[in-house]
Amino acid sequence: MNVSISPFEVAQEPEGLKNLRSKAWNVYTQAQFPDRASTLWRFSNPEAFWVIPENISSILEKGKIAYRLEAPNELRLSDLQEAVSNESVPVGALVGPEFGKFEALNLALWKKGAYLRVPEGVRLDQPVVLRKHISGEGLILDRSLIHVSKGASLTIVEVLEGELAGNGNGYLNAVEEVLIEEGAALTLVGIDLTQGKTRAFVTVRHSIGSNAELKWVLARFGEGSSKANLGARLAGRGAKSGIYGAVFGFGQGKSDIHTFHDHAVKRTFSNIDLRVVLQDQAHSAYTGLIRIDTDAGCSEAFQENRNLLLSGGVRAESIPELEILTDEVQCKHGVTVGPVEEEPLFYLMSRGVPREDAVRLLVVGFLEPVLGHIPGDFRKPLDGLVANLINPASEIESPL
Amino acid sequence: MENKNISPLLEVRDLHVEVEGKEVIKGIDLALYGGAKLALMGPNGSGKSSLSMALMGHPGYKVKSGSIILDGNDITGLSPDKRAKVGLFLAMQNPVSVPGVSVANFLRAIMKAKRGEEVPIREFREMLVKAMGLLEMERSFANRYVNDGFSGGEKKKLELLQMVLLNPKVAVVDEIDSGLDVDALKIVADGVNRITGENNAFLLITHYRRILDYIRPDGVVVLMEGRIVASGGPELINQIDRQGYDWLSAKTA
Ligand SMILES: Nc1ncnc2c1ncn2[C@@H]1O[C@H](COP(=O)(O)OP(=O)(O)OP(=O)(O)O)[C@@H](O)[C@H]1O
Ligand SMILES: [Mg+2]
Repeated sequence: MNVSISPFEVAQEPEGLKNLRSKAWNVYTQAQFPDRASTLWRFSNPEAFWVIPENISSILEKGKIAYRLEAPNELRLSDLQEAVSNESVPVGALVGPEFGKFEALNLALWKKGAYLRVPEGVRLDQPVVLRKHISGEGLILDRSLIHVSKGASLTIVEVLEGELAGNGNGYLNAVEEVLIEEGAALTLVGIDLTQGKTRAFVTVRHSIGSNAELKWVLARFGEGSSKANLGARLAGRGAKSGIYGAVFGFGQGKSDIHTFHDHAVKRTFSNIDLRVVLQDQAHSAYTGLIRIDTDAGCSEAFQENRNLLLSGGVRAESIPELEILTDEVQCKHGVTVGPVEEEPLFYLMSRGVPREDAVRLLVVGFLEPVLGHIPGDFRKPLDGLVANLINPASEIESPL
Repeated sequence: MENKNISPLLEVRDLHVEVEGKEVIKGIDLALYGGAKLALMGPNGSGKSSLSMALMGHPGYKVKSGSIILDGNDITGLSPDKRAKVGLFLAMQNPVSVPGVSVANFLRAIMKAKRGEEVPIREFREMLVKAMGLLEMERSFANRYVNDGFSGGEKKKLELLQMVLLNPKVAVVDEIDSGLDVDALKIVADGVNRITGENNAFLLITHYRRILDYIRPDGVVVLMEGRIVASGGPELINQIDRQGYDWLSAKTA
């Protein structure tokens, strides 16, 4: 076997991490490209995320990411790399070297990174804000690890800002691992405000302990392209996960989202509400997998994907997948795809609201059940943003 | 009360309307003058709602021929928002729900459209609180999604609330009384009466005499199978209440 060593090995890292990195580098450079027949890759070409190993070091230097935490004193953001050297931090526990070819690139070569540990029992009423700012061009490897200890409860708003120039084969490769321990409650709000044609490859995995709860709200408005693999493992009894996603794609924007709710034990609950608005020539693909393990009876899983088409040139695909290995579960999934509904539009217009404003109101209303989960300070600007992005002129032919 | 020297607020001339390729309004003429309260009655499926939808410009109700004149403007080809701008309002029989849009945001958009500019939030609140008080509606109502999960009576009240806020020249009110309890009926009738004046006109679609006891129309027209088969004074209401419509269909046959 040809075990090549990562070219960016950092000497002072613990042996464990060095081993992971070297395994990951091996996977990145040696593993086959993912099979495009698999649902996960049906709508994105893996070639797009491949950077020739020899070229990596030069393009890695050109992309920049900066992390900043706005939180009360009891919470501190650490550099993930430093943290790994000083304490035991489970990097790679959820997205390890074998996870996938491009996730392996991240694990092999990330530096810095964000580490947030929420101590046991800490309960915060005000949201804490983790800002990630990207700039430059080339390749950015963003790695974060959030560890919410037993009984803690808080809201983390993660805002991704900036722009990564789409020159050459650079892109943002982000991996986030989130551990939610027993009895903890995390509301994680991810707002992607990246500008321009930023390309992103994003993988997130949560592990949710017994009686712990994740509420995960995602908002992404852009003309960039992204492939996101978002998952949560319901690892302890009574674990709950709710994923609420709002996507607004415009221009040539492309969104390829895969969700995975993995029910590993009994009495676990999951819910997904993904709402997608498409305009111009934007394209959305969604594949959602619900897996209920043999021992995970008495569980419930719901999944719904709605797509609102504002222009004739857009495309929306949606494929639900169920892997149910036990009885006694409740599972439901649904998909809708269509333009703005005529009856509500007529209703608003009959009260004097001009067509364009009526459409804006209805699109914001369409996203409301998702955006409504976002704390007020962060939510308000999003409504305005959505309303501004809508170009009613691009709309599908309609009698009204 | 009709003054032939003054032009009507609403005039419908030989109107023919098709829905799903079927003619449902087969030549109707109507004139409503300022101050008028005209009751429009007729059996189920006779075309009352179709007429009202066509007046408002619903794309599913196609005007095949004839015209609709509102306060001197031919609105036959206008989009619904422009008709509203000219002063037409339709309180719908079955208003649709608009999930995700709160009553407050919805009403604010309506007021903005009426005024041509954003209504300052404080002024809007005062207006809303006053109008809701008038209709004895709970404040929390404003935070709910429009018509979403509303009871029949709540929907009717929201229709009326909009009418009060918009103060239209001509209001077509389609079965505002159905599904209302006695108290709500009085409130709704009060609301209608409050905004009637010499410069407004009402077309009240109903099946029941009861609301007409409160609103007191000055005339009645009866629609059957898309045609007006009878018109007269308020005494016609009592006759229909006692005898139904059969005697009228015998007359048209
Ligand atoms: N959207 C529609 N699609 C198909 N048919 C329709 C539609 N709207 C009305 N119709 C038909 O047109 C005719 C008239 O219906 P309309 O609703 O106008 O009656 P109405 O007088 O308002 O009755 P009701 O007293 O029951 O409210 C009926 O035959 C009805 O089925
Ligand atoms: Mg009707």
